[in-house]
Amino acid sequence: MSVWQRLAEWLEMRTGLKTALYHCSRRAVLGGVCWGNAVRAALVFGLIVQAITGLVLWMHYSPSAQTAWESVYYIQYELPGGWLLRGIHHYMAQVLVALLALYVAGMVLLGEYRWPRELVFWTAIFLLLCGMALCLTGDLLSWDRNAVSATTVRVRFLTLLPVIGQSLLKVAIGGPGPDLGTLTLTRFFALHVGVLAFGFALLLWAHLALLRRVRVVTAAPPLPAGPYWPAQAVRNAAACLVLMLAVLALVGKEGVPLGSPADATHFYDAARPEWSLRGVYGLSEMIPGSGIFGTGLSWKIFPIFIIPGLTVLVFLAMPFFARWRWGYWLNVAILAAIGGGLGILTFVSYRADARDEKFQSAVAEERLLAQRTVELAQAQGIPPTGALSLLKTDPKTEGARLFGQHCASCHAHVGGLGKEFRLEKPSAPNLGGFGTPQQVRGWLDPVRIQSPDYFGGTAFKNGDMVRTIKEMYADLDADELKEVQEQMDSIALMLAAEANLPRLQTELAQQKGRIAEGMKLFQQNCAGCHRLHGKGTQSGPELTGYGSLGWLVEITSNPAAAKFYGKRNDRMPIFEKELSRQQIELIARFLRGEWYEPAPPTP
Amino acid sequence: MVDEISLRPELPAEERRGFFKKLLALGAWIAAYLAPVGAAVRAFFAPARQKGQAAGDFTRVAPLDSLPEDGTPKKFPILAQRRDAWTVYPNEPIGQVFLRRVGKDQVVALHVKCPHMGCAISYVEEKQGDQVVKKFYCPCHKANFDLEGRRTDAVSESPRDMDTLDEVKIEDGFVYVRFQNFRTGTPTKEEEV
Repeated sequence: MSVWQRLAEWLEMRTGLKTALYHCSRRAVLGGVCWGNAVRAALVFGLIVQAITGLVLWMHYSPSAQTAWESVYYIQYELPGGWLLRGIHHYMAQVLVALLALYVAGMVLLGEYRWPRELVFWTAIFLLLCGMALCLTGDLLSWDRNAVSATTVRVRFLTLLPVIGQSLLKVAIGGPGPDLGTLTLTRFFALHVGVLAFGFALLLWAHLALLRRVRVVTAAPPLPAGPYWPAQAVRNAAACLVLMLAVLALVGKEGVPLGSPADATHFYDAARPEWSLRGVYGLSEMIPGSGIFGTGLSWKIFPIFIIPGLTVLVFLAMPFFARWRWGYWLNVAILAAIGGGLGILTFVSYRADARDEKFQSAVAEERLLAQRTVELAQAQGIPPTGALSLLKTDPKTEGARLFGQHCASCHAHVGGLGKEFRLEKPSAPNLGGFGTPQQVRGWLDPVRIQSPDYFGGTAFKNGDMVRTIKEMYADLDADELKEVQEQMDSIALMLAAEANLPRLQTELAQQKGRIAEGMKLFQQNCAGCHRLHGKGTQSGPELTGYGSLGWLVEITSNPAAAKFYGKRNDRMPIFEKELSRQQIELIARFLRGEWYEPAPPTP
Repeated sequence: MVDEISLRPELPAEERRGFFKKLLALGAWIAAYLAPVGAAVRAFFAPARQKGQAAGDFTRVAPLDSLPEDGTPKKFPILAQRRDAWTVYPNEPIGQVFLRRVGKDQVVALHVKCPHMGCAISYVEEKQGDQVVKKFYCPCHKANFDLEGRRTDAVSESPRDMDTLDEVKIEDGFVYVRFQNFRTGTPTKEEEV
């Protein structure tokens, strides 16, 4: 005997491994070789894949409000193989839910719920429900804006229930609320990886064991049987491979999105449930939220609890319906009605979103925010306070948001860096490109200064400044006009140098001569009203550091200060009363285009 | 059992077909698991290739005046940017050093970590009769070092003397050290990255 044979004997003696393998290879498949078994094998395969990928994701995941998004970011963007791991886990979950839905539908069509298969059928239904619960709990774990916003709505539905609703909500949140937090995450995480994952495995095992038993009990001897190895095995393996290829195709095509980190002050306007619950969402959309005849209950309780609950009950009752003469066809009709209804509702819901501009713009905004967070995290690392503070201190996004919220109802922002804000009838100057020579030059032009981009919409439309500029251009011949225009160019350059925008610094440094000339011209022509570096009379706004961070912060904080517009301030709010210094600074940096931008990829 | 095998009714032709089916089944099965298992293995073993923080710039450790003139060592934390997983802490202890004055303007820096298994070495003053012996001592495996960091036990647990940080400078009355970590357990001092 060779060493290997002796080793095999040694093992066989102690473990019976060889015999077990032999029996395995001879295993008979009760009921014969079929593709139905391959579908079940694919379900087992899916579960194993979820266990493997889930376990390694678990090693890198950190469930807390300050670290959940951050750890998923780490998995997705920094951990080698992490994106694939997360991609497989995410899409395998979706595909498994779809497969289970089809599996249950198939059992209804084939009448595979009849005596004594009731429990086989029920375990399949519970598997589907458990799979959906796994998706719902898993969905929150990324802790991005969509996940938290959508889950907030979901757990809030519990308050529709009378008496116990409020308590159930707190149980779901894992605390007094009102917002979801770390304890919600730890709770959902434990439910996901512990209770539900274990429950799913147990249900699948029970389903298969019950099916096997039913086959033994119901078949008349001799049992129809086919060989497991290799006839059934090759079908099973093929089904597993097809399932995995479908999942990989989805990962390759879509990738798994990771939104921007959750923000309690910034609800996601386009938050929606996953596709598997879209039908219920669509149904709920059609039903009013008003109360039911003074009972204190909302009509919404029907689409959210009663109708889905009844649907599950009807499916569970199918084995009993089947005892009636037309029971089988009744069940098929129920399946068609519910499946078709959900399909139509789902389609209508997606179509409505596709046509909803507000929804689309919220999706686009969220995509930009997510991309921006990743950009900042990759460049700067994530601060101990979490990734959200990267966004909250980012002029490009938070500055733009604050501008949109507090400034954009009067000021447009067109023609500068970053997000554009347009207005049909602006009542204040367009601040796009503020502090660039081109923008400053507009103040020094008799036509442009009266346009809506400058003083056109303001009380200064026919004020001293406009009059002065017009006088400077009055009665000029062609040569004189050219000279005045060149002088104005120099003054504009000088003021742009005061702003010294980051993107223009090198350019401005080469224009020292003209800037000095601009300064001289300013002292001759403008210092009667504007102060600049301590010279001049102050009746118009102070222009020292015009457009610089400090100047912008000051004028935004208090435009009615004596050094700016004083009593003549035209409707602009004194923002230091409503915004923090940091917020005003973010707006100022946004206007200056002063933010981190990654270097363009080198080809 | 042998009998059972010989009784297995199989035709040679079918066996051949069976062989390809078996191959196909095994191949498809392996192919199906390739991506998830591959990704899992890759992610699990990814740390093996990751590099830690390399020696950075000089860090300011302590004012020169805070070091006793008689050469008694004092322990100081090294504050620098620290990265843990995805989080970057701007200013946190990344290690500790003993600083010891050996001249008016000369300071020696010793790494606090024991070269054996990385425990924290402490400075102790031991009374032996009337004399007070100043020494370094690692409590984990009872290794003794003199103030220069040299092993003093007849048979020491430590594979080498305490690690000195060679790049030390004094500027404007402050001691600066270029901090780095060293491998443990090796007889020679090598940077750990």
